[in-house]
Amino acid sequence: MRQDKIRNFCIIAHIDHGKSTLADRILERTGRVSQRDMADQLLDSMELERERGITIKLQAVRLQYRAADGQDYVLNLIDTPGHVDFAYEVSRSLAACEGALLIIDASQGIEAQTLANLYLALEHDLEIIPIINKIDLPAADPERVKRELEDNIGLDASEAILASAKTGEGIDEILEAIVHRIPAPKGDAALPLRALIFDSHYDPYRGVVAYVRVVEGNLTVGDNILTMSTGRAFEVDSLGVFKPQMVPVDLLSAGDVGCVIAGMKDVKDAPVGDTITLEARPATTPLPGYRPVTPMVYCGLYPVDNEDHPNLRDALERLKLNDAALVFEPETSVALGFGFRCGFLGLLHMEIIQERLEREFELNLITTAPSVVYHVFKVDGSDLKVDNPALLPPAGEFDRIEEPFVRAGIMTPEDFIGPVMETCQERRGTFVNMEYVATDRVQLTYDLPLSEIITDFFDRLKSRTKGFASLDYEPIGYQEANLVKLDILLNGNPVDALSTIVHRDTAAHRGRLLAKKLKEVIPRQMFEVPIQAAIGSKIVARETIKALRKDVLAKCYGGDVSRKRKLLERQKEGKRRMKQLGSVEVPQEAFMAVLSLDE
Amino acid sequence: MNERPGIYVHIPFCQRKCYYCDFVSYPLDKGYSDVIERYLVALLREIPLRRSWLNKTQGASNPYVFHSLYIGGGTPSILSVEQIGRLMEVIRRCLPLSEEAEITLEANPGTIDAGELRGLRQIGVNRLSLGVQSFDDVFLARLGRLHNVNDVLRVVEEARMAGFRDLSFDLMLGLPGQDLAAWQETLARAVKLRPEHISCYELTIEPDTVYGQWYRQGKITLPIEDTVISMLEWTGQYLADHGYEHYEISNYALPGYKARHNLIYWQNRWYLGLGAGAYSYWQGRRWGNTYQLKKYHDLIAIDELPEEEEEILDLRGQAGETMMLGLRLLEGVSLAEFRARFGISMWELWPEDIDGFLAQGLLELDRGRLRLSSRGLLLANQVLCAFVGSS
Repeated sequence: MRQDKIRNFCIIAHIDHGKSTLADRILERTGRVSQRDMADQLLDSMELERERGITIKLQAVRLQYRAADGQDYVLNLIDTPGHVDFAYEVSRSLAACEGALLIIDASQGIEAQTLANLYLALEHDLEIIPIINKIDLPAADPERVKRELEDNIGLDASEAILASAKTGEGIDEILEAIVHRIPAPKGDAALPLRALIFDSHYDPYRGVVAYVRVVEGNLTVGDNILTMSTGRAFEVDSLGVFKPQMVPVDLLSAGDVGCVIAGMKDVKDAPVGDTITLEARPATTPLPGYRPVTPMVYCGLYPVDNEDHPNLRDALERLKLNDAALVFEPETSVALGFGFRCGFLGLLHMEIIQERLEREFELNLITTAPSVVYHVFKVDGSDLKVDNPALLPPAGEFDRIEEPFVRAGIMTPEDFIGPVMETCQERRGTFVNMEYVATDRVQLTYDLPLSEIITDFFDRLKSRTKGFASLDYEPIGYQEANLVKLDILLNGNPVDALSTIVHRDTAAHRGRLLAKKLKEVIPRQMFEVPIQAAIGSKIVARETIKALRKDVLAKCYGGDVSRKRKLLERQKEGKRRMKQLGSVEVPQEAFMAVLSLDE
Repeated sequence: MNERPGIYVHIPFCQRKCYYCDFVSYPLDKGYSDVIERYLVALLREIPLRRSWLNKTQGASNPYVFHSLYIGGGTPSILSVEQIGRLMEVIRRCLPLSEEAEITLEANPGTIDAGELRGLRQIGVNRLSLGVQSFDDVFLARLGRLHNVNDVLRVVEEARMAGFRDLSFDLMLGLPGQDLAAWQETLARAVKLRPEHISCYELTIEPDTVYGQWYRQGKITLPIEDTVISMLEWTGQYLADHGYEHYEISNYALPGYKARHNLIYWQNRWYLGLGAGAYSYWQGRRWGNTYQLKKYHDLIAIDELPEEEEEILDLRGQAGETMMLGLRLLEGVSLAEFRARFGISMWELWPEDIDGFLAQGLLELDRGRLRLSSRGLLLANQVLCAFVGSS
């Protein structure tokens, strides 16, 4: 197939702006999938993704399209994840394309997430095709969106396509634009092989499936390949393209998108962003942009029942096969017993893993509040990274702590500038910039400690802007901060899993809020339970959970037996989901209480 | 153990639904006698159907003799004596009811007079369970009851005259606005009438009731937990001082007058239920008759048992329910009887739970029986829930 008949493109969109539906329409129109056997929103294959309406793992689909000019084209649609946690994966999939469809909701306009990904796309010199979607909605205001496109991004709004993925309007125009506006790939097939891995996943039957964009050279079945960052060699068992089911091919040539199966046993063998070359004729330099993934957020995962510990390890290992970004190592907590400290790209990544562990592996888990990685400089000149607040050395042993900061872009309607700034200020943010992206919409830039973002920052932002604010952020390194460890004692015993690292100025206040919150979420026990918050040896707050004195069902007659038993079964199930800390039964909510403290 | 099963008959009608009640009962308008007669006729057809079922289940040589008959509701005393008489006659003809059986009729003090009481006694009813609830007309009105305190005094006197030697009072505590003194007053006036049996139920607010709605709207509030605990503690002490034995979480009796029918439930023994909304438990199978009157009539009309839902308990499920119900009795569960019945010791089934509760002082062992301690009685759910569901 000739390179000039190939178009590689991806879709950039904010969550809910209709990416998946639009992709479905394109698939339908190119005849790849019949409407009948297409599960809704085909590209999002995991159950969880479908439920949350987001894309976690990117994939590629090859479409055959006969354009208006009578020629046949191959369109490779590369799906991108739609969340800030997966910004690196997005950048790699963009690097595999020559063009991007920029989907904007006709009633909501550009969001921060879209903007961030759009900038990434422009950095990769992609041809952008703006699509104003959902024009069938009554609230649609395409003219406003067009102004935003021109004023803010400098795109020619006259080139924007008005579409409705729901009704199918504009789909033909989009396909023609893909063919005529997105350039064909240009790589030289005669050069040594360089193929970009933009995604990989583990398949229990085939091993690792690496999704690649061949940039230069040729790749054929039987080739011995090298992944350049690891230097490891593998023999190519098979190559394929997705239509959307995998179809084997013998050759992937410069410009092609497809997958490689080469006996790799672990996704680490095919790191996202890495370059594949041939062992016999290696390229001299890898493609630019590879970096190993580093977790940003850590938390402890513990089985409620300690006997599940080996099952949790097995489950994490199974998930890791498919998720190079997930890291974990064994950890013990005085309170929670044996568990794992796990690192994630962000909060969403963490929640997804946690949900999959509970759903797919039927594990009953306690998750501790997420923490960032602190850099602690000790008085003896040594330094250490602390990803678990319980492990922060005592106050006298270090002379400073640094914490990770991010630069956050928050897009909000003009009316909410005040509340957004207030929220950022409360979270120790430093103002960087404010810019009008449209007459009534503003992009605010703040530098914020990451630790403040991983609590309920986004929820708060949303609630203070009636849901209008959108958020994107990128790490900008470490900064020193005046931090202390806030400990919680239950029944007089410190619970390491409830410790948090907080700013000294707000520590006592947060201690009071946390103690109060814990009193609400921990059910009454058969004895009185004092809750204390402490900084060092100083108690800053105290609450008491009164003892449960009465818990009895009045009558129990013939007709009631099943009903009463079911009530008791529910009560038992509730207890089972709680963790026994000493003699106190603590529900999962308690460990997350620190994330949502009402001011 | 199960040689002495019981029969329950449900009469799902009331003149008016009480504000707190979520039992199966349908309020009746004036001119309701047709509805009741029609229901009775269906009920009388269900009994022989159940007889055939029993023949099939047990074979012709059915060894079981029923030792109690409980006619509950609803308001069974809404039936005339003649109607109850027909009911009992058909039951006696179809099902082997012991000569000494306890035959209880639930009655509302306001719906029954001296003549009817004599009639009931004559047809063999030997126990009355009276929905007294309170000795304060204000509370009675708030509960939506149709009777007043004078009705209670009158019906007790007339029942005694008619020859009833076994009267039971249902009383309610923890009512909105009720303080300890108000409860003490009700209890004292109850005891003065010397009923053989007293049930003291704490009000539970059920969602689908008038009270449930008022509670959600904040129109009524319940007494605080400490007050209710004082009420319960007072009840135990006061009734003990007056000769009543506390034998089940909510039940008290003069010596020899424990409710034999209700003991069947708490000892997890077998019983057959007749009528719309009645439940049965037989050989590990529990089923409920449909509570919808139309469906009940339709099924009976084509000579089909009006069963709607069923549950089959395996041995472990039965064992668990035996604990859940048996521990409600103050005497608790006999270790030996449990083992004889299920072929396994309760320790083998719930080792950690039982030892834990013993250590916490919620359970205690006494003369070969495991039972709730006095503290455990107030926290019964905490203990009982260990024995239900999967382990």
